[in-house]
Amino acid sequence: MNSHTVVVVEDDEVIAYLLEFILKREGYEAVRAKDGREALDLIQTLPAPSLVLLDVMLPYSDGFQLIQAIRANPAWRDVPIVMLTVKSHEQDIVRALDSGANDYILKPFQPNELLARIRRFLKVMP
Amino acid sequence: MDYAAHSDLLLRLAWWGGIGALALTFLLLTQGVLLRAQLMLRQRRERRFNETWRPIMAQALFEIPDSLPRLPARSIRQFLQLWIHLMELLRGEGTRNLTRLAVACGMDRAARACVEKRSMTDRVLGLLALTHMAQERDWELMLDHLGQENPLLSQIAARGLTHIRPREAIPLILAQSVQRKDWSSVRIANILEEAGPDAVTAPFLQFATQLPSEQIPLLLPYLHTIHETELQPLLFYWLQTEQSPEVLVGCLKAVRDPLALPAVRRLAGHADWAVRVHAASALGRIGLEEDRARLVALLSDREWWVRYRAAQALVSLPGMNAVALRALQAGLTDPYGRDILAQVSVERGLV
Repeated sequence: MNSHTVVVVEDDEVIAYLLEFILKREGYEAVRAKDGREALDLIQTLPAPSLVLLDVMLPYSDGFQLIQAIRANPAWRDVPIVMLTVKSHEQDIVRALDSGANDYILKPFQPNELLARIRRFLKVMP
Repeated sequence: MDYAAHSDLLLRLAWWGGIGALALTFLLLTQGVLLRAQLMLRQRRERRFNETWRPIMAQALFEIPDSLPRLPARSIRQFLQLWIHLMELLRGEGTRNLTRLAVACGMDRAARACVEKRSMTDRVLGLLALTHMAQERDWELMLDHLGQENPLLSQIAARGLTHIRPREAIPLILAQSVQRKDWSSVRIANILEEAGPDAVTAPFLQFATQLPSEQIPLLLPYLHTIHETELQPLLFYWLQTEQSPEVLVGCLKAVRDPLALPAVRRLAGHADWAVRVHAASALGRIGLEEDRARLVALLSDREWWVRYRAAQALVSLPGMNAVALRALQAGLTDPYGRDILAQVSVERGLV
């Protein structure tokens, strides 16, 4: 059993369910925010998670605004952020990496590739 | 007496009117209750479906469960919607497992039945599902739908064909794409991108080189879907042989190979200002130091965009540093040229 907590910020019910399923199957604890507002609440109230999986297009606050909020919170500042973006919006990747994201996954994605990227970040965590 | 009879009729009318209004109210109430009950029933069914099938589909990404629950006929549409959503979201081994799951549940037969229905929603769902299942036996069905009048169905069929036999599908799709004014070039570009340059390049080149000049603009949105090394000779050929400004602009936007330099230099003096704009930009990408004089001449063009792109190209040329730029500015006699070069220098932080 892993002791890592992964925050999933995703507005699509099916995608969020799938991500949570994949993470829990791997032994991670998954906490979900369904929009930008819920995510901002989590950033203010939750202890820093091990990683954030962040969709770009979200209601209320988009992924870029959330990156700034995460990096502005001293407790969350060093949390790795992996962005989820659709292939047709590849320009979002540059903007996300410039804003402070650590990595990105293009949709459509391979579950095993997603897990490998998450493991890469969590392996180096104390 | 007359008055009493009249009053009696009014009373009867009022009585039956009241009864009618009551009956109508009762009917409306019953309809409201029935609609509410139907909605709650549907929501409960959807909840049950999601509770049962979401975990099964998620599990199937890694391994297909040994036993599967029976899927009621009324849930087929919901199954296909969820399944298609996941197939659009994922790639690789997971989608192959999901396809095996759908076939094990008889969804290939169900999807074919949906395609035959009158409801457009069912037909779209059925065709999309078959597109993702990519079964050889559906090639003819997809081929029939490629010629469909409905652009949505025909474009889904185009994608379905590329999933089944990509190399055979591409020429068919390209031939349709120049005929169908109702097809979305963005959607077709996505289909070609998904098929990949290995499948697209050879049939694209064969098709493009046989196309009459007036139809070439219709292929321009798909240039990026073929291998860059094969694209450049095609652009080189079109830049030398085509006359249409639309084609020339499309080629100039994509040209990256210095082999095309003589043609690009010639087009920097084209009568159409849109061509001159893109020729100037292309010189910024592939031009040499010796193109400086040509670009300096474009700084005095009568069109602002030509001057602007020429200035941008000038500062991108090899050997152009802050010192060379200052010397160039000092030597310019045309005030328009000096202004635009000063603006671009500021934009690039060279001043």
